[in-house]
Amino acid sequence: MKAKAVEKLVLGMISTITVLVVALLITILAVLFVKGYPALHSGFLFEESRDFGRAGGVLYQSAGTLILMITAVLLSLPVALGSVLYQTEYLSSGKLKTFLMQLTYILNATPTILFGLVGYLFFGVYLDAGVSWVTGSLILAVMILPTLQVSIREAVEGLPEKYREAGMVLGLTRSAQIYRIILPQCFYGIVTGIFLGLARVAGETAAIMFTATTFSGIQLPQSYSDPVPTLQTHILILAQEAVNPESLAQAWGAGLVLIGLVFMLTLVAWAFRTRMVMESEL
Amino acid sequence: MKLSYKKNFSNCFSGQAHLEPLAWIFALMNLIFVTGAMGLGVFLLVQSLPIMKAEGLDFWLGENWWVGETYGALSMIVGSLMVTALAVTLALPIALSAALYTSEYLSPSLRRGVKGVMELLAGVPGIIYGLLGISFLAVTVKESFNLLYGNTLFTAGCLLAIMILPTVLTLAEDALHAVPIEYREVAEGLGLSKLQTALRVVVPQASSGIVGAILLGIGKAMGETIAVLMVVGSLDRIPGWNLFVSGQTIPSKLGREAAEALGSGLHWSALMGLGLTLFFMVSILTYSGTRFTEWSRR
Amino acid sequence: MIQFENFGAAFGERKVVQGLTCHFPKNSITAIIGASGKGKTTLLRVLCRMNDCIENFRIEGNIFIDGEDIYQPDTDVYALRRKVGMIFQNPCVFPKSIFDNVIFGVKDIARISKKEYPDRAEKVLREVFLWDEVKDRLREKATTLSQGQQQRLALARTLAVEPEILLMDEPTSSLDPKSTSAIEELTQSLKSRHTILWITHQHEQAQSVADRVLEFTDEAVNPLRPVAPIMKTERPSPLKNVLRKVQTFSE
Repeated sequence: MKAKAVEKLVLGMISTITVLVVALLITILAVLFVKGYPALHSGFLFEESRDFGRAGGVLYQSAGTLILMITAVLLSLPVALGSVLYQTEYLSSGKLKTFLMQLTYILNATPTILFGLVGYLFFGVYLDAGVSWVTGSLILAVMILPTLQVSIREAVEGLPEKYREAGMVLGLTRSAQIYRIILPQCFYGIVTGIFLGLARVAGETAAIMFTATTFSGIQLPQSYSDPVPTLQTHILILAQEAVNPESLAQAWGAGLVLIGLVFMLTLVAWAFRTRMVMESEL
Repeated sequence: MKLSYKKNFSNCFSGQAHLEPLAWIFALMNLIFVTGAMGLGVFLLVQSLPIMKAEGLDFWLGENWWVGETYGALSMIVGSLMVTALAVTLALPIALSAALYTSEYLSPSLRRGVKGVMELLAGVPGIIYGLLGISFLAVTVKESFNLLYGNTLFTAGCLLAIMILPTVLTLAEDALHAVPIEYREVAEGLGLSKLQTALRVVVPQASSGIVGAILLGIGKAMGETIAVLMVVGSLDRIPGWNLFVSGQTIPSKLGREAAEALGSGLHWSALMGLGLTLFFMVSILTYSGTRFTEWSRR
Repeated sequence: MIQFENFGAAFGERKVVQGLTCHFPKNSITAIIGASGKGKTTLLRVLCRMNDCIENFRIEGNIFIDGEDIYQPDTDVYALRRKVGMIFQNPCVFPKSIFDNVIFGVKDIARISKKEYPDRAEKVLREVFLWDEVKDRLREKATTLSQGQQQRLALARTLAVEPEILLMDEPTSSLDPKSTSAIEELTQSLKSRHTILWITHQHEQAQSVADRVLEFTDEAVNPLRPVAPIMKTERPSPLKNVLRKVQTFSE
């Protein structure tokens, strides 16, 4: 009898906790929406910011974020794809494979600010790119390397063996196996990785705030050595320095745009992941 | 009956990989990856050598960080450990019990809903949490504890707890849910109640995944820069046992001063030394996590 | 054509085949029968070196195809696999069009020009009696075909590469009776140009399809009985009994 009462008590506790957690997190989403919505007037996305961010929109900030996102993924993708395929298709030493996997995990867990520090020194100082969008993109490209690698590896290793074997018995060479079977069959997995990578870059602030971005005075970068304004830096500066409510309202608006972007990318990634699972079950 | 064997597809082809152009391209990409990953650690190490020479052990044991004079990282290290410990203490019991309930008791559709919200929230940028932190949490802390200033170590710890909650929850839930249904059926067949089954059979089976989730959460809390920077108060001092004062963590210090010190000088080297310290702390967590997974698989 | 000499195979410590010496002449159909896990599939897979990718797999002895040892370090495995085609138990078609599936293996052979693809496809699809069923829908996805059609498509894809040897690993076990008899029938017509090894669990099928039978038994020391030609009218009765046992066991 007593055991049953205890069980009921524990169950009641953990169910309450679950409900509270879900409620808390949904509240956070709701707050973001409620606080950000008032700032979103019709031109918020298509106007430049004025009065040090007190008025106007976030056109160039959004553009800067997009520039960094896209160049970072374009730079990172070939390296991620190549290194994963080298590890799965060419490398036969198990020890080396384990070591490289370990390296991916460590890189994945490394605090993003460290990418900023080291990346600035290497790309910004040694390669002389300065505080610029190029430096930022390179830093972010290294940062999302493990994200892309993990997704691509998942897709390549999850490829049903029958496809590989069917290709093998037809006498396909290793390269043909890669570009005729593995790449087409893993297409959705690779796209999933790309979108997860984009989402991760879109949310990153620490690695780029002092290496690639600026708050005001610049619109679109004119050369490779120009910094860009981004949504992330915009929010940071407005939220930290602002004394007036207009600036803070603008920060919330920019936050809502940023989170909308991240959520959209994540949802697209999920859609492709579902597609991948469906294809592999054929 | 079909037996499954461990396969290594790289062995299935003619042995002349070095004649394939693709092999060279991929090897180059792999080299870039390895150089990038190793280079990060090597750079941190090399760049922090000057401060190690100048300060020696005092770099880690010194309390004073006066730019231009002396660099002691102790207050940042203690701040990082305290904030992380607080975040983990707050988040773990909640995340793990919610994970257990979600995996073992919720209907499939509800479970998918909870998982969806958690995974979306796990991707919310740190800057957004920072914004929430200064607008609500810091104010709440200030008012409810009658403080002059709401940006404290306690605020940062609470904010981090909320931040790592979805990650730990969803990863721990994955581990619990991956335990085959047969284990539960056998255990319940032996007369164990559902909760006993969950605690005595499912949780031990999923332990390596749960530990992995916890370590990832700790690592994330330890390395978070932006959100902490916005609410921690950024004051370099050893807080003692009082959490309700402003403090500093390693990442927040790096975020504050990197822009001033950019590039050269002992100040920069000191920041790299801080970075190296953080890198080691997180790498040890990650490494022990993967070792634990290997060990528990045996 | 194919010669095993004192051949053995093992997965780590577990030996599946030991001390096998036998010969498969050109243009013959040999049925391979025996219980599961006795090394039938292994015997087929080593012929196109498909087991190279299994860790800890090793062989001993020699295998010769047309007098050449296929496990020499400088063996061109790609040429070997084009010479030795294999059909698996479960048909595997790529999620592409029927036409692309048929010419999948041909595309990498330089000496066949792109213009020849349609003719080649038609020729092999006719050989597997699939042409009439698919000639109007060559651009449709191959995954829309039935299991039996998919298996014949897989066979056509293999034939398009013009292998000399065909290895069939229980090719009909997942198929309906109609497709089964279609495959059995077309195998007979392939005999004139190919050497065929056919794994099966059904001794009726072995009897009707093959000229000769190789049986894997439970005996630990020498798990193999010599290759013996089956006379269609009379067969040694002990073998028949063993076959029955195998059959009931597998069902």
